[in-house]
Amino acid sequence: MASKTLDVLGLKCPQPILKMAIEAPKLQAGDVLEVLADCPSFPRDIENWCKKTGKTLLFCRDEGGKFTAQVQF
Amino acid sequence: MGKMAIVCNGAEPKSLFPTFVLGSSAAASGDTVYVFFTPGAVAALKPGVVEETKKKGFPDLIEMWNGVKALGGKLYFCELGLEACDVKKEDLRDDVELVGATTFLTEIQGAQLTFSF
Repeated sequence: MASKTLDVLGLKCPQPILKMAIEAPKLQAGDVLEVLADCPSFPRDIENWCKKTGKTLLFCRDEGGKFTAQVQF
Repeated sequence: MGKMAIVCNGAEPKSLFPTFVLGSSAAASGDTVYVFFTPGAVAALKPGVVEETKKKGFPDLIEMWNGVKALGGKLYFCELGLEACDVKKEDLRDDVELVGATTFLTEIQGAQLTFSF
């Protein structure tokens, strides 16, 4: 199991999710992707993306408008 | 996963940005995205135009365009547009495929989401 961090700070919807999707094929089942984002729609978008793509959202933490999320593949 | 079909009728930001915000979001979520540019959008398909099209508050159009492509999306230009717009295939960017309406309609059979901008 590996973990990787994706920094999408400063990017607006739909770029954070788009960059995650482009990163996704490089990850294997069980890997964890940590995403740093500050787009206001990110928490709902990542929740819905995980539901649709069958990934597990471990958490999405709001640190004053900066979000840290972890997704398990 | 599903299919999304978008018909893009113009070369202005009001047509291009909704096409690629929704298209790239759908592609990122695993849908196959089909964008069909009608002759009204031909000016956007000349080399370099997508790269230069910006709109305040929106992500770069070329990043969303490239995202759709990287995730398997199809970018089509209506074949009728060549003669109608007096352009040749070589005048257009090389990542757009020329197809007829029948091909587009056949490929989008079963699309759950369709848009026209």
